[in-house]
Amino acid sequence: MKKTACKDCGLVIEIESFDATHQYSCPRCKSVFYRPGESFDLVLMMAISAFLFFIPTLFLPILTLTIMGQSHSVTLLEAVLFFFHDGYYVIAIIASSVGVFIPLVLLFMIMMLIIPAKIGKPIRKLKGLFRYYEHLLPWSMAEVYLVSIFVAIVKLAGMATLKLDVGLVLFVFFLLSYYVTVTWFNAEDLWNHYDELED
Amino acid sequence: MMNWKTDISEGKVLCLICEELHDLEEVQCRRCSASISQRKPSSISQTWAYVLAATLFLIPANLMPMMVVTSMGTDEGSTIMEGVIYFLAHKEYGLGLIIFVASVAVPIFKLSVIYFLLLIIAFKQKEKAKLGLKLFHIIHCIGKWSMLDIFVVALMVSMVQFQGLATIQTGAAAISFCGAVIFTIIASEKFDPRLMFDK
Repeated sequence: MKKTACKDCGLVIEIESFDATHQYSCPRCKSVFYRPGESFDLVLMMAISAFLFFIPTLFLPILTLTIMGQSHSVTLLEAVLFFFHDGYYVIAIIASSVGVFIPLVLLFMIMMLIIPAKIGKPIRKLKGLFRYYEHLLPWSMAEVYLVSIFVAIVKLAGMATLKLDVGLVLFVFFLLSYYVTVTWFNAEDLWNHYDELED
Repeated sequence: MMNWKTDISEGKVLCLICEELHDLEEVQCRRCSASISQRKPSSISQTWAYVLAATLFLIPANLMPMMVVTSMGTDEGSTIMEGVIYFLAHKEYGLGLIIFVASVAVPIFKLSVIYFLLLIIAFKQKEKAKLGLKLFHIIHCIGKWSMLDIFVVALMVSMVQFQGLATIQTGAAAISFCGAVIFTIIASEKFDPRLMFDK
């Protein structure tokens, strides 16, 4: 038995026998209010692998550019830090936070939420963290950042000779596994799991 | 017209963070301790404010140069539309289309949808609520993609730095476009679609 209300139209919904493996949508406005997620083990594994892909990208070069014999390679960390030298603070902060840092923070939060559930500890202290997760979600734009890297590469190809480096490949893997983690993670399941733990 | 049981008619409050249903007198979610209210507080006036701010920011964003390329001592600024034309002229039709959709079509579409939703509430057009909700879901999915051009500019600025040969700087449009996108996202976060369905 599950009693909830639709987030989008306010309809009160009662489900006699709730089955967590099915998708449920609101009878009035047809928007989906429950979508089953993957198992927490799988999500945790994806989150950890995303982290492992990310750490080396900070230090490995993502691109090498050559213009008239002068070559210059950039790591992700340099790409982010460069802006701060040049005074484009606002755009630097916005682009690097929504493209890289917020996705990282979200990954970290997912791990912090799932690991206690696995060990079987209640999460009273982490409740605040969970609230931030929901608020941060619309600000994570990792997938947009991924496409923008390719657009930038095509644009640069016209001005300079480009060599793609291993850092870029790892960064693509990071963004892909991040994206999979976030789509597989179902926060509502986690709450139901904790409810069962506390009962 | 059928009469639906809504959270207002039943005297219930839904927590938007963890989707637990509460009785009307509660102000804090007993599961995730987020503060709860039946409808998002001052949703309409805040949405109006942010959507108007976003509209104002969009005007300079389209008229001023997005980035300035300095090569061999000459400065060349290009606006968003000039960027699109650059790709079309170089027979990169796919990328030209992506940039056009992401930075011209999507922002304008998003803003007009939010205006439409606000007008549905202002004129109490309850029968348009379902259409409005569908559009609201669409802008939620595509909203992030308007940051694409900002990321491209940010990446190019940090990658192309060859003193004396070629440098790229961000133009005035980048910051106002950023502002427009951010205010649009805040506006759609502040908007409460349930208000369209209420009597």
